[in-house]
Amino acid sequence: MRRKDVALIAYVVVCALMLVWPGYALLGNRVRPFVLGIPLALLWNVAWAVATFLVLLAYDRAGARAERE
Amino acid sequence: MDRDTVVLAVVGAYLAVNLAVGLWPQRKGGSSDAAGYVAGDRSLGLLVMYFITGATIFSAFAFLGMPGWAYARGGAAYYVLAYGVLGFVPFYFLGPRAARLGRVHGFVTQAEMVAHRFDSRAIAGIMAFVSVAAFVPYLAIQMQGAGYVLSALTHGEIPEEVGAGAVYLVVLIYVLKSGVLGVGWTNTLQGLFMMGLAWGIGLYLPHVLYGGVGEMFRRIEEMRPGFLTAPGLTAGGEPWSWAGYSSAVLVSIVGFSFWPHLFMKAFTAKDDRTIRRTVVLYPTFQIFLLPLLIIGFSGVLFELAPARADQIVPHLLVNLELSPFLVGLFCAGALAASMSSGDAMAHAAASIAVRDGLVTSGGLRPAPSGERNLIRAVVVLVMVASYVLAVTYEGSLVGLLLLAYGPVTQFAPAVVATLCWRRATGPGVLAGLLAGAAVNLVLYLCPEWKPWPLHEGLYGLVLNAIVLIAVSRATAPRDDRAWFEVAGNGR
Repeated sequence: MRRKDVALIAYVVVCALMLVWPGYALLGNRVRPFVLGIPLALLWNVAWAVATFLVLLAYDRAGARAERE
Repeated sequence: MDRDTVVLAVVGAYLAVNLAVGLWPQRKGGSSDAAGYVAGDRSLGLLVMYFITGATIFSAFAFLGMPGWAYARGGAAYYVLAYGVLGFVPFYFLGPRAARLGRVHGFVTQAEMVAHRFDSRAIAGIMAFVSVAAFVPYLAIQMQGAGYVLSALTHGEIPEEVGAGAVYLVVLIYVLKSGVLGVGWTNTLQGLFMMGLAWGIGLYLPHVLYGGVGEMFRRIEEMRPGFLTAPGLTAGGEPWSWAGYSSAVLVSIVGFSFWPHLFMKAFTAKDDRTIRRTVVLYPTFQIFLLPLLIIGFSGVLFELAPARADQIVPHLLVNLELSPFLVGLFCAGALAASMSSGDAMAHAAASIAVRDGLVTSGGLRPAPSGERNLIRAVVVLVMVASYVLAVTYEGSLVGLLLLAYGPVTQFAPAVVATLCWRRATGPGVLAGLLAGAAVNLVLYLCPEWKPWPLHEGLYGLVLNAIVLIAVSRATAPRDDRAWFEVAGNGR
């Protein structure tokens, strides 16, 4: 398995744990601080969506580069 | 013009434009056989794919149900954001494989693909049955949403069942007229429109009611401490458990890609690149769901309560002295959300019922034009069944939808095995599907038998995978080299 695949799997596992118990319950699930007026518990989920977008983008770029070579 | 007339004029104009755009591709011509009707000639580009996908998730559930959840159940509503973060990722790997096989074998449905590899009519039949059974309540929710909006707009003068019936007659016409290309173009328009509107109203309502988003959340936290954190409340108003919340997120992540109307997009995409890019962009849709939750929260401290939580958004709009133009636009957006999801579902349900249920499983061999007419007839039937359910069902339709998510999740092991596991066998896949669906159904009906308070779909999924692997190992595999030469490995 290639390095980028291992990295993606690791990211998905960590991300999943950060969206449910225990990761989310322990770290992200709090009202304060308000970020842009929005409770952290809510914005946490959006932040992980943005992170997933960036990770997938990087993974996709790496794949396209490998294909060209 | 008085207020109500302006609102109704805006909604009417929107529906008219929508219908016109929906019928437009028909005039440009296109193939007239069933594959062209269902799969849109495999020619949809990235932009269209993006907004079709967007419009599919911007269903009546997103526009009415999600705010309703935030309003009544607080942090429980975050689960919808959470599963969307990873829900589409499996499709990055499965989609292109399915697309390559689809181009060679002419597949247009998920079940057709699975049944073809294992040469099993039983698999096609079961998947078709489960898919259609899952779509009817889903479509009924969309219809109810349309009924709520029109009823609230006219202060009850248009009863819910009349409103739902009228809106879905429009949907029926354009689905019958132009198949998936019509679905594509109307959804591109609606996707764009709804994303802009969601943010507009999401910022505007808290501003009018509380003086800003931050001020709103501070006031809610003060009045109802804990309401803004997960896992929130159950439908009955009791605190929800972390086991319930977490397993709902996980089952949805696993099951999401295998909703038949979403999976079919592999067969309509122009190329593999388009599929991968759609998956990469997918998490960005969560940014547009955020304002819908904000809208729901803005009703929490509002003094007048709606009859049902799902009516909170139209209820707020009607009871606040907002610009009638804005109210009209939002209601048109909610209707659009209901319609665009409804058309994709009716279309998918009918294609699956005919191609998998009657042709592949039942052995019917209609002519291409006959198949197309058969699909149209089933579209009408599915619409009528959903309409009857929508107007007669008294209990919670969201409860029915949760029942539907369990069986859909059971498709995951079968499809992954079909595309990625050479050693999988037909009896293995069939046994896994049956075991998973049975466990799911039994635990839904008798929740007291669950060892832990997890979503019943998760128990079904685990057993499904174990049975699939065990039975496949115990039975002889077919020679599937040709299949995997087409599907390919990795990219």
